[in-house]
Amino acid sequence: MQDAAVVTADGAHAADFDVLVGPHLEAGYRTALAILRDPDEAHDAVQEAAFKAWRRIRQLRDVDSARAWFLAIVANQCRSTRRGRWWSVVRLPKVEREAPDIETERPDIGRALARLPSDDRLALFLHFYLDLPLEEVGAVLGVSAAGAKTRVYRAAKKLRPDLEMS
Amino acid sequence: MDDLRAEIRAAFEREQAAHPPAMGLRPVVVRSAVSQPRRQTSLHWLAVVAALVLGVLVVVSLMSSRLVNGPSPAHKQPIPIGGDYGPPPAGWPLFYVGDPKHPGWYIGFDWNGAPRGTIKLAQPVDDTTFLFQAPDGSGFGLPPAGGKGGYDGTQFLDRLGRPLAQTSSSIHFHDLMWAGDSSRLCTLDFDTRAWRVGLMTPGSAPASLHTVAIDDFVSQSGVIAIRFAACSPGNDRAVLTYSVFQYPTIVWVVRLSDGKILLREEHDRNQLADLVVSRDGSLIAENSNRSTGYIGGPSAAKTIIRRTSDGSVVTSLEPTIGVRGFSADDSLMLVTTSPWASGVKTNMAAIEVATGKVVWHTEAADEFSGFFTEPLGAGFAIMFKSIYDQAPHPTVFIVMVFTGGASHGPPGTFLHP
Repeated sequence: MQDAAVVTADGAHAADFDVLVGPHLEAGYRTALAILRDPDEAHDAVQEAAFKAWRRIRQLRDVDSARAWFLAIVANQCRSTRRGRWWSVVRLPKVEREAPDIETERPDIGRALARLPSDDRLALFLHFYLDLPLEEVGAVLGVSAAGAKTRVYRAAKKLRPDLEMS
Repeated sequence: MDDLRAEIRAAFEREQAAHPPAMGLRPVVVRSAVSQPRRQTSLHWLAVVAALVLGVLVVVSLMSSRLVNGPSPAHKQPIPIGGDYGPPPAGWPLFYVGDPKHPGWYIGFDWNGAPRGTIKLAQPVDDTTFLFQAPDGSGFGLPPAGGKGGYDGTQFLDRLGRPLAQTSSSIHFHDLMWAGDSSRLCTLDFDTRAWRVGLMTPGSAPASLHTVAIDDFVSQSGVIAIRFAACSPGNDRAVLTYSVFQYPTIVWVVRLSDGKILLREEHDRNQLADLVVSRDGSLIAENSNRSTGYIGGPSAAKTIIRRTSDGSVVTSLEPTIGVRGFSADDSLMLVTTSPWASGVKTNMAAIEVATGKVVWHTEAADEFSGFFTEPLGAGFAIMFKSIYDQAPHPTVFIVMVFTGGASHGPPGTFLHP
């Protein structure tokens, strides 16, 4: 484990923040995009999450958990953004954004994913796209590793009802 | 489960590929975050009040202008973009827009919306001229500053923005257009008192000039409004159009290799606003006068899309719709669905040519300012500007639209090249 003192001392430096959070900003953006499905909002969300991470950086005691810690802040920021979308009810319907599924045998998987509740999408995204272990998925979602496994399984089963848990 | 994992991963990868993170995300976000005070408890109430005031302003703003599905410049500034992205890479199709912070610099974006390089001109382009780009961004033409709108003295630049050696040519070009292959230009001149088309490599004299039997009245009328609408050496075809108010509108489909006119069509005067042709010269859109808001007299009852091979009709559209361009593969057309005029908000759509299906649309609070066509696909990069910005090189933001209606764009604002 690296020296956690760099973040617990009063004078946290920009360089420390860059070392701790910087490597996870792209994952943060991609997570925000998976939840919000809007690149502008995703960029805004990751920027706002970075502000919050900087303000709360003393809360980070274990450098090895920086990724899950930051992604949890991003996920919470995205939930706030979604709740704030009161204006969406007056927007004209958007045309489907996905590219046509011409290469897969199951052309409906992208649309089925799009219809999942955002927390289900998040669980699948963290585990299957970012390859986070279940312990980290749980840390982001605020549940145990076992709880994360159940979340992932339930979300996957919504896509494939005949799925058996392994 | 492994199969499903792979499918889910692939689906997410497709979503993510369409919207890559902004270039420089890490340094910009870190710098911005650490510039915020970490503990400012005494200012919290002030922040709350400020947030409430801002919130009210945002609500008012949204109610007045954002009740539609349109992008606006205010929505496009989460991450500032601009600066030196290094030499543009070879073999990578790019489109260029002006860097607002560095006059004379142009940022090349790839078709994922990521900045890939910067070219730096010795002198900024002035208000009388413009930078015209090869379809894949691998070359540029720059008419002289302070010019009279013609092409005499045009300087050609290579992929890196470096001037190419000029071969002096006495030919006075009436029109130039980059060919679809991005390596040559079609030339049109009247120097021999006959219209001639040719092909030219940038920096060289035009080769293989051929006379085209354009109607005499075009040159005798004193109204020279003949232009290239397409230049496709690959199809051995160029399309010339003559379109000016109060005169008949004429289109000539010309074989580049010998100048022979393959098709000539004439439309009564004041029926059409303009003619737009696909890059390969195979499709032509006859835009009704009503597509630009003209209501003062007769106009074509429909906007019609034809094949230039035989003049047959592919499809027709409402007359208020104007086709602005076709995708490189001829599968999509970019249209304005409200009259396109200066100082007026522009509604736009992307429509499948074969089916007429609308795959994307926007009811923008801004004005259409131009577009780029993806060289090898079915994408457009559309520039929008404020309706109040009527400068020759206005500030624009970019919306990229692709097959199926997927859309995104680089954050920030730029200058129209």
